[in-house]
Parts: sequence; structure tokens; C-alpha cells
Amino acid sequence: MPKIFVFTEDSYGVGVIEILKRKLHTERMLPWDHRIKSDAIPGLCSSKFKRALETACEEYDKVVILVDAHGEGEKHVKNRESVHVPDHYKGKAHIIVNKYEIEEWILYAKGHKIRNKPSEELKKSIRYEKHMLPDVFRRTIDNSKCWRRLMNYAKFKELLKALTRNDREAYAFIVQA
Amino acid sequence: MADIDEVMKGIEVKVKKLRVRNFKSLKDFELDLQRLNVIIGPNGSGKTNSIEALKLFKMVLDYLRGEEINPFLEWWGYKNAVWKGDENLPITIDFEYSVTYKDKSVDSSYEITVAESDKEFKILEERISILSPLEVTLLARSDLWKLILKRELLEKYYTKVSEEEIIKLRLEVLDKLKANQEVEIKESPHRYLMKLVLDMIKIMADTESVVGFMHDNICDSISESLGLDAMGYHLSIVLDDLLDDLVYPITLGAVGAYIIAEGTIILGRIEYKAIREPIHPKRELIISGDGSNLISVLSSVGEIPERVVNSIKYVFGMDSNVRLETTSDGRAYLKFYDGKSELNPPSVPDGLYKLVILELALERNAPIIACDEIENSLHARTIRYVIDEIRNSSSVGIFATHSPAVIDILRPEEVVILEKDQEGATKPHRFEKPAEISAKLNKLGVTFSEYILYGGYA
Ligand SMILES: Nc1ncnc2c1ncn2[C@@H]1O[C@H](COP(=O)(O)OP(=O)(O)O)[C@@H](O)[C@H]1O
Ligand SMILES: [Mg+2]
Repeated sequence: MPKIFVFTEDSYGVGVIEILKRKLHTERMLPWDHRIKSDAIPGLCSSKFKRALETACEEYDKVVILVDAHGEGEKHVKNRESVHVPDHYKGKAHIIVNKYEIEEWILYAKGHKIRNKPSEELKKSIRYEKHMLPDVFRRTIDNSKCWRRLMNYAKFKELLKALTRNDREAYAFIVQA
Repeated sequence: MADIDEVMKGIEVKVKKLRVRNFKSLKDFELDLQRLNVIIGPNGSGKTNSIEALKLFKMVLDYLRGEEINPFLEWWGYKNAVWKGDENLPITIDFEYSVTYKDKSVDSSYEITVAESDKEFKILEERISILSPLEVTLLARSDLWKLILKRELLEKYYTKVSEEEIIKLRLEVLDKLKANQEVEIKESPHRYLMKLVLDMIKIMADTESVVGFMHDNICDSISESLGLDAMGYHLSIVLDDLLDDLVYPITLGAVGAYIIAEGTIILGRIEYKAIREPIHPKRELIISGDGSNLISVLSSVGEIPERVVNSIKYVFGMDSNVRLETTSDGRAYLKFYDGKSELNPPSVPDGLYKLVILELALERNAPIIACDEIENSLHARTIRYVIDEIRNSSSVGIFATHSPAVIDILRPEEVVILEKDQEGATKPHRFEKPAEISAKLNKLGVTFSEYILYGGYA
């Protein structure tokens, strides 16, 4: 049974992965025996994260690192994170960099433009606060139109591929980029 | 009578700095506050003392309301509360903060000096200093209030009115002000500034009237003290102008200090047994330090806030929930659902109650949320959630911890290391170059907590 570990920026990201996992099961996009576990990246870019990553790479079939670029260069962020991935595990680790933050998925799904700071955008439109992220995400993808649109968002597509495809080799190239 | 909710509506208070003098081991303790501040240090370094200083500040309100006769009894007497037991010393607590209300924003500090004499609790002095948009201080002692302003400020008004027709009349008063730059308000009817805020809240129904009435009140005291009425109509108009500009920030500063004292939540040892007991809820809006009034506060707030429910869903599972239920004889209690079964109070883990308390404090916009030994009863994942919540909130978190697991999820700028100096006085330290820590940890291959421990920081 394939096991995937997802590292997120914070607890809210972990909540989102939980919701997504359930959705993928109900949509039959994820084989029933696929196991996905997620946790927030510990504090600093540190040896702690390195060790967590190394352990996850050893014990899981695939590891996804889902990070936010906050408008910084996405390449730069990807390179920064890939430093933590031990060479012999490069093929297992898949780094996905959001342009700003996860909230951009929600904007995209709803057909809105993604400008600076999606969370600020949501604050204006729905009195959004961070703790609502998993719930807002759930409500968004429960709308089939939004869900279909989101599946076309490049970053999200990347994540979907990583979570649903049981193909180790396919991801090696992304890390090398 | 307005309650804290009505007074806090539309007012934003952001605490920036805490200063404590002569309280327990905090002989001269100054801490710049970030959004999250986690205090670490060996046993006896003063972590608990730092948090208890906030408690003393809160207790001043209880004293002024007549609910507490001597706050020092909390520490079994003044001797235990004051630095090295020297009862001749007064204790001072001082906050720097900004207050925003409507289109006005002020940077203010409030300092209160307390002591014990003749076995009685005494407030010796309060001082509100406005740092921006202008510099002015109101000093309040029981027998006299003083307005202290800068010469430049007076000069600004001086030139402002110099072209006016009735300039002579005005100059007379301005010169009087200019001569000593201090206005003594001898016949002030109010002994304590904080008491004035409490009195206003008692009679006024909302923020606007509390601020407005208090402002007028202080202005009246000043003009009366200066004998402005006797100086004629024209003058009073000019002076009104000046006073308006001076007193409005002071008023906001005072209301801000009240909000800090009233709204701050300090969690000590939690009385889980009391929380589990079904009760007839009372109207209460501030969570007590032991959390025992949690059910009352939740009942007073109405429905359980979304933030609280979301936190439970996060740590207890997506399908879980929490609700207020009532027993057949009308007593309220909290019931948790984990998706499959329901949990009645005896089966609810302590950590869930602690999480609800912390989340409720955040939802209520507590200016400061302080918690000693934050790790107690909380799983690492839950602590991480609480920390993420603080980072994204408008509250300031002050937590103490002994747990390496907690330290490892922090950013260096969030850590406060306590150390005692030669005299035994607690001194806080922060990392001077937090940006460089990450590279160091990678170079050494250690965790943040290991770095702090073996690097000789704590
Ligand atoms: N009145 C006082 N004057 C000076 N030091 C005091 C006073 N009361 C307590 N202390 C010191 O404070 C220390 C306890 O601080 P505390 O905040 O409880 O430590 P911790 O960091 O373990 O929480 C003791 O070592 C004691 O010496
Ligand atoms: Mg302690």
C-alpha cells in the first residue's frame, strides 16, 4: 500500500490536506489503500526538518513538500527547500511551491484573479481568517464547478499528480529543475 | 452599564512593550513584545514571575472595583512580592502600546506604581505618556494630577494663534502654561485614572460615550484648575482647541490601558474539575486564570465561536464537534463529539479544554494571552496549532515553556531567554541575529533546542 507524506507550511495546510484526502477518496481518485499523512514543517530551516524529511523519505514511498513563495521567486524557494533533501532521496521528494499561499487555490477555484496576498483578498471578500482555511477549502471543492476549475490550476495539478500517481520515477525531474 | 465587549468594540490595542520594576526577581525588566514570545530559561530564572507581573496588573482593576482588598495577598504579602523583600520599594508596571479608534491612532504608555503601606495596598502613581501624534504626559497621584507638555508643543500653539485678533488675551494663558510647562490639576475629583475609566464604563453604554465623556471630564478639570472660565469666552475657545488635542490622546491611552488590564488572559493552573462540573452559567466575558468559568463565558458569548470549533476539528478529527448542552435541571456543560461517539465531561481529555480556553481568548481579541508551561496537557501537534493561531492573530502571546519540542517549532525572534544577573535579577535576552541561526543549525546539525541548550543560552 503506497504511503505519502506531505509537509506543509503550517497547521492550516495540514487541515487542507486532510480535506483533500477525503475528497480524493470520495471522487475515487485515490485508491482506497493509499495512505496520506501530513504535518507542518518544524520551525526553522534546520537539521530538525532535515531529519524529519530523511525519516519520511525512508519510511514513505513519496514525500511532498508544499511551500509558499509569498510572491518571491518560485525557483528560488524550490532550490532553498531542495537543499534539505538528501541526494539519495531526491527521486522521492516532490517540492511544490505556491505562488503566494494555499489561499490562491480558493481564488482560482472561484474564478478570481490571483493578485498579491490571496489571504488578504479573502479577508476583504468573506471576512476570512486563517483558522477557516480547511473549512473554506472544503466548501469550495464541494462545489463541482469550482472543483473542476481548481483541477486545472498548475500548482494544484502538480499536487494531485504527486498524491494520486504511484509512479516514483515521474517526479525526479521536478526536483532537479 | 457597558461591559468589556461594548467598550472594546472598534478599539484596537496592540501591546508593544512590558516593563516591570521591583516585582519578585524582576528588579528592572524590560521586554519588547513580538506577536509571539516564548520565555525559556532554567528553573528559578523568573519565567513564572514574568507572567505573574501581568496578573498583578490585572488585579489592580479588582482592587479599584472593591473586589480585592489587597492584591499582594496572592503572594502571601508584600514582602514576598517585592524585590528581595524590601518593603520600602514600590513596584512599577509599565506598558507601551498603540490604540486605534476610528480615524485616530496614538502611541501611548501607561505606568502604574503600587506599594503597601500600613498593611494596605496603595496606588502611588499612574502616568500616561503619549508618544505620538504629540508628546504629552498626564501624571495622576491621589492628591494631584499634572499635565506635562513640551515647550515646542506650546510654541506651536503660540504661533498658531498669533495672527488672531484677540491675541493678547490668549497670550496671557499661553504664557502661563509656557512658564512652567506643567499644569497642575489640584481639584481633580478623580483619585485614579483607571478608576475614572471604570466609572465611565459603569455609566456609559458604548465606546463613543465612554471616550467622549471621559475626554470632557478631564478637559473640564484642567480648565477649572487653570481658572479658564474667568478668562472669558474667547480664551476658552482657544484653550479648548489646545486641550482637545492634548486630552483626546490621553483619553484613548487610558481606555487602552483599561482594555489591556481587563482583556488580558493569564492561564495558570487550570481547574479541569470545575470546568467539567455542569453549572448554571453567569454572565461573564473574561476567562479566569484557572479557566473555571469557561462554561459561563461560552454561554455569555452565545454560540461556540467558529474558531473554537475549527480548532477542535483540527486536533480531534474533521468530523468532531463541540457543543454547549444543558442537563435536565438547566445546568450547562460542554459536550464533545469525535464523529462516532459523544464525550461527556468525565471522558474529555484535559488538553481539549485547554485548547478551547486559548482559542476563546484569541477569538475575544485578548490584548495579551499569557500561559505558564504551555506544553502541559497539550500534544505537540496541538501546541503547533496554538502557535500558528497566535502568529495569525491580533493578540500578543506570552508563553513559558521547558519543552524542547515547543522550542523546535519556534522562530528565533520568538524566543526570550531569561537569565539571572549577579544580584539575582531576571534579565531577558533575545537572539541578536535571528536570521543567522538557521545557517548555524544546519552547519552544526543540531535542532534549535539543542543549540540553545549546548550553545550555553539557557
Ligand atoms: N521577592 C523576590 N525577590 C527576588 N527574587 C525573588 C523574589 N521572589 C522570588 N524570587 C526568585 O524568583 C525565582 C523563582 O522564579 P520563577 O519565576 O518561579 O522561576 P521559573 O523560571 O522556574 O518559573 C526564585 O529563584 C527566587 O529566587
Ligand atoms: Mg515556573
